[in-house]
Amino acid sequence: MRCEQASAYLPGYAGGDLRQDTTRAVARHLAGCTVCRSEVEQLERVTTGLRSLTERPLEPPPMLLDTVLESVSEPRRRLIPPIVPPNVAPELMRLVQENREVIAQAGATALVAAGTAYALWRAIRGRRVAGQPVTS
Amino acid sequence: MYVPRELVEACQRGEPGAFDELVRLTHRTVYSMAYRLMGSADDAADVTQDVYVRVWRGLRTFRGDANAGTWLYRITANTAMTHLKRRGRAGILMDPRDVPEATVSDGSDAHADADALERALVKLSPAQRAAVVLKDVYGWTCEEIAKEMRTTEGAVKVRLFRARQRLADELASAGVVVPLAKRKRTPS
Repeated sequence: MRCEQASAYLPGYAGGDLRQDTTRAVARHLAGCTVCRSEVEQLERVTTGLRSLTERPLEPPPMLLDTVLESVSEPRRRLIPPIVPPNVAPELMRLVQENREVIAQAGATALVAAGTAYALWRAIRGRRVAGQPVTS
Repeated sequence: MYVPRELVEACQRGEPGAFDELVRLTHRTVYSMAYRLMGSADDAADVTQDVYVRVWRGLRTFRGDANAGTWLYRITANTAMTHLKRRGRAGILMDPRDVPEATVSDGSDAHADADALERALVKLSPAQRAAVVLKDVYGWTCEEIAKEMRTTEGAVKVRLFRARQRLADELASAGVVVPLAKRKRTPS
């Protein structure tokens, strides 16, 4: 590999982003080329410096925190809270557990009532279609 | 970015003050990432505001076993990408003199590099900046960046390598490292 070929791979080599075979070929070139080695050192200084930036948070504008808190207060007023409020879910579960039989009976009664109402509605509708007057 | 799981759960339960605490704890980190992606203090502030509105809306679907810090970084990157697309249409240029001060600085060589790099990042094109910031600063994979930028891994690598080269050149012209152009290149 010559310098002209190697130089295209140096930014990738410095960040460890090349395939293994390409990495080995670049490494062989670097072993005998001080110029490209210097270039890689410079690029490695860039990648190392960039990695360190996460430990250096930038100072936001002084009013940003207040502005953000204010901007999120509006959607918070408009939106329903993310999930069920605290203690409501466990309390609801406890009530269901304690009144299982009553809930089952109420459900069965509602089902029977709905079925009866539907049957009546079908009967009345059937007579209307047939042209018969609906009398009690 | 470390975000305690208990704090996120408190936000999900709607506990008073929990969301404000989450904002206080994370807004510097979110702003820093937004600034590095946008290259402008005003845009970074806008992105930061939008991030927390999205975070609030996303709390409902956030899974407790996921890393909240990673989730917040993803929302920030995604919001910045949306703003960049909008700004791309407006064609606004950035000014590298507007780089905010770092909250931590000890005057060492490493910090001189970091300061120079923050200024140099602003001079990159938005696509190069996004690739190098997400990969080299925040440790994303090229695949993840390609998905976020809606492009191919190959395109990300091209932008990444050009960005690193350009940053090295910028450090050289800022006098942080010896300019390579002064050395005599010899083929081997």
